[in-house]
Amino acid sequence: MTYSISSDEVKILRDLLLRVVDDVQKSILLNDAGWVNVDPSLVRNLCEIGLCNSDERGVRVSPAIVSHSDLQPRLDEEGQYLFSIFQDIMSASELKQILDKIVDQSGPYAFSVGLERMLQNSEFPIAPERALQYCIAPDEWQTQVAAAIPELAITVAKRFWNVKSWDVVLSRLKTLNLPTPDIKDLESEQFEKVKGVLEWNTVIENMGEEPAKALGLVWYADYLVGIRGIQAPEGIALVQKRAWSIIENTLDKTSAEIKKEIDDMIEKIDAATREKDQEYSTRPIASWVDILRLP
Amino acid sequence: MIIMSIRVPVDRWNRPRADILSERNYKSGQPPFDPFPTVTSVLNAALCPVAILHDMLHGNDSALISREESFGGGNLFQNFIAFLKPAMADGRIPADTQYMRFEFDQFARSAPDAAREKCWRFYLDRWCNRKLEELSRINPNSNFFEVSVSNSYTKFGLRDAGIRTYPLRGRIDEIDFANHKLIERTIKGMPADDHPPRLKDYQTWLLWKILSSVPRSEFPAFWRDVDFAGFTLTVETPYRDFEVEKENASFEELTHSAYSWISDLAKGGRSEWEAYAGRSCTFGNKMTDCGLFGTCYRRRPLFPTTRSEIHREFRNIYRPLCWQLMWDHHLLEYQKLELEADELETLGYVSRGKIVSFHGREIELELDSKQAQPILDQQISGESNSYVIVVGTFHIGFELEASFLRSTNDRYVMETPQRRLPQTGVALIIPSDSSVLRQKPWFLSRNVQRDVFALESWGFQLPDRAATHSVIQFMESLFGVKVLRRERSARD
Repeated sequence: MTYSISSDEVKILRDLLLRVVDDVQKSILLNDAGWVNVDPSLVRNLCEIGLCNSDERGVRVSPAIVSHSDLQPRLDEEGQYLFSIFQDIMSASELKQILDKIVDQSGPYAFSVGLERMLQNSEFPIAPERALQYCIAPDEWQTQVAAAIPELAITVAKRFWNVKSWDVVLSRLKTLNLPTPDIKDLESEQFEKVKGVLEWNTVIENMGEEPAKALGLVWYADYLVGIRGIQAPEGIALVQKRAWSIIENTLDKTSAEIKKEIDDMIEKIDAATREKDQEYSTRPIASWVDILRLP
Repeated sequence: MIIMSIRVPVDRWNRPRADILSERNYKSGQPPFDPFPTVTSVLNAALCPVAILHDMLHGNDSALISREESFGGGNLFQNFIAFLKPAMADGRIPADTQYMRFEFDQFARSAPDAAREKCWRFYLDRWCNRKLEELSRINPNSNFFEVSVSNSYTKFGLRDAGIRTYPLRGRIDEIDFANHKLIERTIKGMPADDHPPRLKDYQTWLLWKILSSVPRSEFPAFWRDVDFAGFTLTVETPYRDFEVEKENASFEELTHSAYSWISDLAKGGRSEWEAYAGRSCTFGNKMTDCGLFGTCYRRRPLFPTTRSEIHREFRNIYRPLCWQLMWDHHLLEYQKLELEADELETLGYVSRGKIVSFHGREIELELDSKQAQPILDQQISGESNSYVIVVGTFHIGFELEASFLRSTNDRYVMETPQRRLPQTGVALIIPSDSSVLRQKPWFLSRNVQRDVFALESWGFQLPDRAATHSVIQFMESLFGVKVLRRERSARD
């Protein structure tokens, strides 16, 4: 699309961008953010070419502006920064809709992917002796555990949501046009050993369904933020806020209560999996706060 | 002038258990206790959640440091006053601004000319002229500077729920015993201001809260009979003094909120997005005097394009570094206050000795062989030559950074900054012994946090520059999908 806008109009766009970003920072809902009263004659051209919207609330920058990346270099430095934040806010807005869709139609599948992402983000810190007890060389631990992560995650999903396999999870999410990572149902030869090192069966026994759901959804939201390349804290905050609001509604609890349940669950798992030590009474077999955690 | 939105107080502040304090437990992962914050950290948390996030996770606590202060103007101002007041009390400098100017030029001779000139012209000249009469009447041994205060149970009122205690430590710019005043000094503010600079009143109040919460049994002998609760609180700018109200419900509320942020962020940055959602200023209403202004409102360069992935990886580094800092430094702060002296000695953290003499920059200590062992070990290992000599108690005292100079038999001579300490024979009594505390290089964790965050924020805007910069290309490859190939050299 070809269009021509004057330098005064670029300045107006910059001010409109500032207003919408400022409103979002003040936690005003996106639908209500960024409206200002401007002399209609000043923004007529901008509205006609689709860079602004107007209604009875006034004028605001149009979401369509994000596709006009050629406009960005014409803005001053702060304007360019505002433009990139607005792009992230719009991406975040799309992700919020995806999150809404998930809970209605495919919660367990998204939770499973989220849990897998959570485990992928961990370095699984364990005491080296644990690995040796199961004939895994400490320097091999990272490789072994990385291969076993899909299995570790799916065992949790099987317990709580009766999810059969990654094939089922991914095909279901794809049917709904939801973003999916590349996870395969690999039978890791070392899976049993890794399970043994981590006492994974004990971990699952001590896991609660509600904390698992919360972790799964928050990590799935984090995954979505990552694949969309959202950098602006304003955008990340919008997505995370929506994820937490969905969890609060689904579980009928406050986020503080849910976080406390996660902390309690980790403590319970830590207590259930501690091993005896020669020097000290007991010690943790792994640093669970580094494995089962919020992003 | 309080900006921050109020956050629900934590149920309870977790302090280290006995086995953690005595290091009988394996140190790993997330510490099972909450941080031991400084007054600066609490101020940052009170200013903005993003400021405390940068403080705890990115090693940057400069939100309340003005541009002038970051160039050392504030230190020069405070240090010269700390030198001037005792010198005038002793009659070494007359109450005449020309003499003071002369002394200042000598005192600040190592500072750059422009900084020295600016400090005198804009700050000290105003302050000296304003205080001339007060300075001419100053009593010897009544003003003490840079007094360290620390308490793991500082009391704060909780609306309708009694009191809550938190750990807190800081340093008081000056205690004026003749006038019963606690003074916090700053070069911030303008001549026409009718209120203290942002949060300076709160800072003074926090320091007084620590002092007034310390049990009398933990007072140093030389101040055992002083009642700090009755002292007045003053914020001193170059242009005027402001008295701070001690009964202040909004300060109490702000404190609970600040500690709530500190506790949540110490759990590993999981409240990061909440901090950004609750930031105190916005694009339309920026705090332009905030030391983190550039961090919050400067555009990130376009390249590397994988910045989102970089952040996701790097955030896994900030968290363990924060925890390492808590294990190395915050635990030690708890230990200093909560363990008995002999337990600290057993852990090798403290040696006790007698101050034999303190002349100029040299302090001579007498230590028996057992007490001297940790110092000798450190000297032999060559790890570090840095110590902190504590005169007084760990709750209230003077912490002097020292370096080892020489030893003869049981005498150890260390170099410290020149400071006036309480004297014997006057109203105050010099302590019979001091503590020589081995200082761990805990600040390295903060340096790494700062460097990692700087790398995360760094880059180029222009594609041409980015395309030829090896580090950018390496990051694109490491965190993205770019295939990196070794270039063929001309000889190949």
